[in-house]
Amino acid sequence: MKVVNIIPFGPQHPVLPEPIHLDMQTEGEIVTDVKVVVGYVHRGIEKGLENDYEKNMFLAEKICGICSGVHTSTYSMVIESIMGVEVPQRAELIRAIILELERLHSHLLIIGLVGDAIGYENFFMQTWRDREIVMNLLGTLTGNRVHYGINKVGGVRRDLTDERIALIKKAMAELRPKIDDIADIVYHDYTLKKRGRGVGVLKKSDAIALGIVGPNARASGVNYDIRSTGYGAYKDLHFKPILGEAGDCHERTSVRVKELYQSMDLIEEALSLLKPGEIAARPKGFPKGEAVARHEAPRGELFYYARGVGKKEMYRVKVRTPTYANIPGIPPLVKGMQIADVPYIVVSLDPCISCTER
Amino acid sequence: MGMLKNTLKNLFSKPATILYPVEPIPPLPDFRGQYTMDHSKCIYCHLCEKRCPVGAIKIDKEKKQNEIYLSLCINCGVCVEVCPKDCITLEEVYTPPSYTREVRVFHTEPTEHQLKVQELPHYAEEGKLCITKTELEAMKGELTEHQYRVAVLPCYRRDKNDSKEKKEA
Repeated sequence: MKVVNIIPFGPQHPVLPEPIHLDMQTEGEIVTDVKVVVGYVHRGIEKGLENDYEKNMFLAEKICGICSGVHTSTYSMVIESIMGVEVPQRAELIRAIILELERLHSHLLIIGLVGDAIGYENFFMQTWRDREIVMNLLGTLTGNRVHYGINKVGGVRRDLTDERIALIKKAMAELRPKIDDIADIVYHDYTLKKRGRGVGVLKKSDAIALGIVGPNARASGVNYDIRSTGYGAYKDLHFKPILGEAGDCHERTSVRVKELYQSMDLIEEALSLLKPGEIAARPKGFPKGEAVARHEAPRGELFYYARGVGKKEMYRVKVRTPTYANIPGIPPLVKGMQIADVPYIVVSLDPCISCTER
Repeated sequence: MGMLKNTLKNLFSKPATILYPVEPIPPLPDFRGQYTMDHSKCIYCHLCEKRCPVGAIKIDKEKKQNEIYLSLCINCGVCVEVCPKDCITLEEVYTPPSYTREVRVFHTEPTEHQLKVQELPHYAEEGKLCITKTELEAMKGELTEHQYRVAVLPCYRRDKNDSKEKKEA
């Protein structure tokens, strides 16, 4: 008779920064079935967003600590399209610069955590040290390292002065050789290659069927990047999605490393396009009607739906975050793998649980 | 091989971390820090109170007294933007961690900031905190701003432990 054991993974686990729980059915060391349980950090933010549309900006920002900029950008975009506000070009470019800087620090974070998940602490420390350059730059540009508070309905709250542009250029010049080091380790290091190749393979057809988004989908070869729809300033920037082939854990990390270079190029291009002008338009009246908005967050597609009824308070704001779409990818990837690989596979999908549960 | 070189390099270089709280973290330039107010300029227009997303500001026109709940404040800077008289600024100082729900009161007389501390219930019951707090306040002149902030925390902890020991005895 076969003995089936159920082994819990999470909600508290050394590799997980946030709580998610997997119940793994195992035969020996092999996982045969898995059940994902979420709901440990639900905060009721969607209900809280039925509030003054301008004050909501700061609550939308608190949905996620890593990608707070993209949440406010998408929220402003959805309110602006309801109210018919035209955002000045300079404000759009500043938003794009902040979003790409955010992508840089978010990707550096997860590349480091992948190192942490397989016990490669040296690599983890190195990426997180280099991430501080971006964090401090964001702190100087926007006024805070984590919750930037840069966006408002109609534009941005802080301008990029010449001094700040010089700071960005200096930081990018400092960061590029450091990212070269990280890329060299990711592409060529024996440990990372041996551990990641062929582990947690997500086929292209599966990725499409499960609706996986972001770098996880692109690592499997799915050409799905919301930036290519050309929202905001991205219509003026030259941009081509980065695609992988293999779809395994190592490929997902490699795609993120390539996106670091892409983000730095986009920042430099956006800086060259900056022209003097207004940074915010003034909205008139109250939001009436409904709209949707999509952004490419560091982890994938971020979706906002909002509806106003001509009052200061919003009637409904719905948020669908990238990890919400990526969680269905966990069971098929984990089935048939060794228990020791499960933490690595879960981390390589870059889960952001607080985002998901809102 | 690259990693070995890296390890050796890091072995002999300066540490990248700061020994907080012994060593203060230098605030970033243009940083949105702790709320402060030049009360003499205030015209009691209630704009900041209305626009504050968390409701951390209370303006009392009759008493001529403004309160800021530091534990609620999210340092967003909306109050600075909306103030018609530019009397609010966010200092380039990190709000220190605290065990109490601190309320800063800005009053016309005396014009200097008064610091009122509303204690959490379990500290208030023990009723010992005020003594050490005053002792600390008396010493404040000799300490730097940062040393004072670091000293506040163990001061509260010691109070709590003292009363526990007494109860046990």
